[in-house]
Amino acid sequence: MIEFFSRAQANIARGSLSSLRDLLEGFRQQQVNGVVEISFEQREWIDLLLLNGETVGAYHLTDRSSNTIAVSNPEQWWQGESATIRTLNLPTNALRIISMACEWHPPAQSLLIQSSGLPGVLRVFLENKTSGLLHVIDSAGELAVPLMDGYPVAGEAVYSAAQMTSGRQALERGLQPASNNCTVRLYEARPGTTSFKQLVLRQVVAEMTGNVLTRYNRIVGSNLLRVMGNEMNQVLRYNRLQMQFVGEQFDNSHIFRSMDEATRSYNVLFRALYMHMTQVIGGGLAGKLQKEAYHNLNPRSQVAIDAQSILNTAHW
Amino acid sequence: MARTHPYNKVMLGAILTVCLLTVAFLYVYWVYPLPGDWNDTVLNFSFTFAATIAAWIATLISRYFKQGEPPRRVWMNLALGLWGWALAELIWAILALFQEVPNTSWADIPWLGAYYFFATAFIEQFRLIAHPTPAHEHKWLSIALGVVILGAALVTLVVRAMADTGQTWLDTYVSIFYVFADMTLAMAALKIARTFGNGLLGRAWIGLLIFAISDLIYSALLITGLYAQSAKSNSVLSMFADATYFDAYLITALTLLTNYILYRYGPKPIPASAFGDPSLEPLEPGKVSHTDR
Repeated sequence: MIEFFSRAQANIARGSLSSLRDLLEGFRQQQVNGVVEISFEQREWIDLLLLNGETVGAYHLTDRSSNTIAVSNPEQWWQGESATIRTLNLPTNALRIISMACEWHPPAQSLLIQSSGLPGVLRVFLENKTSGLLHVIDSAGELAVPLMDGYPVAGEAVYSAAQMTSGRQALERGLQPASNNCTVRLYEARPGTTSFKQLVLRQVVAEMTGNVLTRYNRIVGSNLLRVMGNEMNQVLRYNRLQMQFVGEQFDNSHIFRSMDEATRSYNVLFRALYMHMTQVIGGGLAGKLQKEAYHNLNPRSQVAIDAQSILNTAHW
Repeated sequence: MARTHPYNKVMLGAILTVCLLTVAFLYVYWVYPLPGDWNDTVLNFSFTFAATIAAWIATLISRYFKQGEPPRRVWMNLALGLWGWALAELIWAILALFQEVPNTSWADIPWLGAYYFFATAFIEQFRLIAHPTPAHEHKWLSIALGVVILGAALVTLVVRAMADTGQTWLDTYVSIFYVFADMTLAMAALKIARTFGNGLLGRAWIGLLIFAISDLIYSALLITGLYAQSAKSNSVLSMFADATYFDAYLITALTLLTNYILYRYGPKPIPASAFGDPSLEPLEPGKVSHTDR
């Protein structure tokens, strides 16, 4: 069992395939974001990820393996016996964490350490340039944060205690364990998985938009930056993308069903940014800002963004 | 119902006002409808009025930036430069109440001082949009200063050698200095406007181009002795020079107004539907997205 967010309020019941179908239909109508975990007797589990009520991911998990399964034919993976069904409503940030955990399951490392040793463990991850999902559990709560080349991705951190928080605040809270001991688990990233590719793309897009917004802010000031943010947020809402501009920051809590969808969405985002900036600072300068932001990315990020048709370099 | 963007309406009103003011200026200049010296007084103070409008709009724009925001330095300096010119126009108009104003007067102090602020505004703007290296910046600043100071000196020598201007050396130098300084500002303004391309922020700089033309005409008339300070003289050339100068302020105010509207109301909004990607299931108009937070 993935065992994430054990402190979050969950509904646990025993049921059959037909009760699962009823449950999923109810979630579909209510457009629920969350996870449904089905535990069978033989130490195997099914995790279903729900986004707006739709099942966007289904995984068959054992102690040693994780496999993607077809959602459309549940009879293939559930044959008759009743099982424990745990349902959990989650924000999209937490849902992304579960998605990574499912795709990168089982954990490569699981350590019970003294809390004072946590910085040392993080240092080792940094030295090894580890990419993966870090899960820190102590008596007060649990932190889940992706690591990229050993660095925690603060914007994607989720801390679950009595309440769930996310972002930098969650990371800071989670790295100060309340008890003497804590469990540290690392799910090592699998570069071929969708969740890893999307994590990389999210980071690159966040860095790239951050660079553009910082430069744009310096040229036009915070007033026009806010105007642009509002207009961009309308475009994002119109396209049902759970992303938003806040000052020079770009918050992205959207979950894409595919890389293709991610590419199209980010393409819309950069096109809208370019069009808006063109009105204010002209097409040449707007293109130059995007070009500068691109060149400020590290080579690996450039490769990641080049692999998708996100940027229209004709403007450069 | 969506509010319409006021840009077109405000700009149309402003352009009509500029046209009316220009007609009124030409009318007073040519018809001389007021009693006695009042015509000259009205004309002289009309420059102060136009310069004040331009300076005031630039000041309003600068107030849209918080302390420490980089563009604030651009707009503050541009506003201070324009206030310098407004002050110069006021001093000149007051001096003209009592005497024929000499070619070089107290008014030249704020006129010349304003160039410091304009130069600073240009440098700050270049820094923001072009990221010049200190060496690059130093090189272009040296070239600009060299051209203005030495170029004006050289042309002064040539003009004095070719003709008797009836002016002192200082008068001739100052007259020619304005032409060179304005030309340099015009070139810098052109460069900035070109960098902004079709962007609204580039428009504010275009107004400064007109000063290069108007000052060139004015200085040429002054040096050749064809400029008449009073409208009574019925000099078409003087009227043309003064009207161009008057309009230079008004056009500067107009171009600044485009930027004021930009900062006040933002650019004309592009409808979100223009970026709808059918594959992303965009919202139908009027519906609230489940992603609304």
